[in-house]
Amino acid sequence: MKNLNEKNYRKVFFVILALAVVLVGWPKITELGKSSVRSLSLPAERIGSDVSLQASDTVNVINGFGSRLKREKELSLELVQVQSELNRLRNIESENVRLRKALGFEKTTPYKLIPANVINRNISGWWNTIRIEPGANKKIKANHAVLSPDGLVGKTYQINHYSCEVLLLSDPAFRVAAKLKDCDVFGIVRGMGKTLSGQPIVRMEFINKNIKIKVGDEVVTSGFNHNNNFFPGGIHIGYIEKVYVDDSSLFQYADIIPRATSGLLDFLFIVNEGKK
Amino acid sequence: MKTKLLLLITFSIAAIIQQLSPSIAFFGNIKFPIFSSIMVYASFRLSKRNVWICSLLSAAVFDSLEPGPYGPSLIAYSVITFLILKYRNNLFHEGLVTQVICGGLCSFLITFISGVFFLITNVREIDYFLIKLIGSFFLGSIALPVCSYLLSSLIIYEEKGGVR
Repeated sequence: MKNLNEKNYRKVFFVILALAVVLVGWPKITELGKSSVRSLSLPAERIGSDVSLQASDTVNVINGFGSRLKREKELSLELVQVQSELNRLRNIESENVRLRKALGFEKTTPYKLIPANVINRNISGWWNTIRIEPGANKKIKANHAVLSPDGLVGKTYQINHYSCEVLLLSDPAFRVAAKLKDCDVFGIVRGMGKTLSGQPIVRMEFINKNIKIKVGDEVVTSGFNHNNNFFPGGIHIGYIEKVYVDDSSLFQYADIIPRATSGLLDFLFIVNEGKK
Repeated sequence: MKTKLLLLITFSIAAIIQQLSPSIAFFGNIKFPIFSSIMVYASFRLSKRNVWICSLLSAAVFDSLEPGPYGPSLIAYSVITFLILKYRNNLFHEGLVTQVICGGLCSFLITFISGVFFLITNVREIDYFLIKLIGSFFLGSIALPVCSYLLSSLIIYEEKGGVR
């Protein structure tokens, strides 16, 4: 029997390959296959992520023995500043709600932030993605914004039961409607990959050519969503670095320095519909 | 059974390490090819049937962990397995020079086939392709000897039907 198997392994292989070619073109099968492998590898990934986090924490503790008091003071100051800013924003929000009601505008969609752990990164380097926990078990949907305290990181991409892939801001497949914070200049922000020094490249395109843009202007999400995207308006993306005129001379485009980088992320937030 | 279990553990650890490791920006943001090096290591030592099983399963796992469609690794790993099975009896697989060249070539082939696959299917925009190819050869030529050394001293799985 074994000899027969040895002789026929090529036939078996080609049958498996033919089946694979037929089946992988079927999106449901692809989804099922990926979801199963990722769910199976999740416990091991969680252990790997914990070990990696513990190691980096230990290094941070060793590095930070001398400056702990200084850091504590800085954090206290930051906390006070953030609390006062939060109070100010709450006042503005309630005022905004009153004005919208008075003008008869529709209520903006409420959203909540779901905390997520980064459990792994992309395996090959072809994609700029990370894998986070949770997934569909916490009602996470695809194409929702993913944030860090520094601003927009990316969007949820492929949802598995316990985890989901996040397409990072620098990935060429990433697109989001954006605007300049201080003036209503709109455009599309898209990822352009990374430079050979590892810096993410992000570009804002289709900007009205008649509007003057300054280097250092802040870029935020505009809140215009399509294709089931869910990006609330006003999320920080980055700052304008350089401005160019499009080849067609119809638009201008600008390179952006994103503030939230993906190198050392370990804790993120997924934006989801629902009350805060 | 012991060999298969050891392989499963080895591939799982390799997949986690490769995912956690940072991409090397200088080589077009590719990663150290630990996973494929283990596949090449196993291909030199297992029986033909087990090599094919190992190759197909590892390729399916690799493609499952990628956001893109199934295909790049399934094709690349099958081509590499076919080439290794064809020439492995003529190669001295314990030799450092063989490992350096084989590791480099296999990694180069995986990047090349993946790149061509992405170009044809229009799944990805390809940037720094030449640098990626050179980087893959360089990193593969380091990864295979290192993986071979570590695996040979930890576990030995040479089967009946494999190269001795």
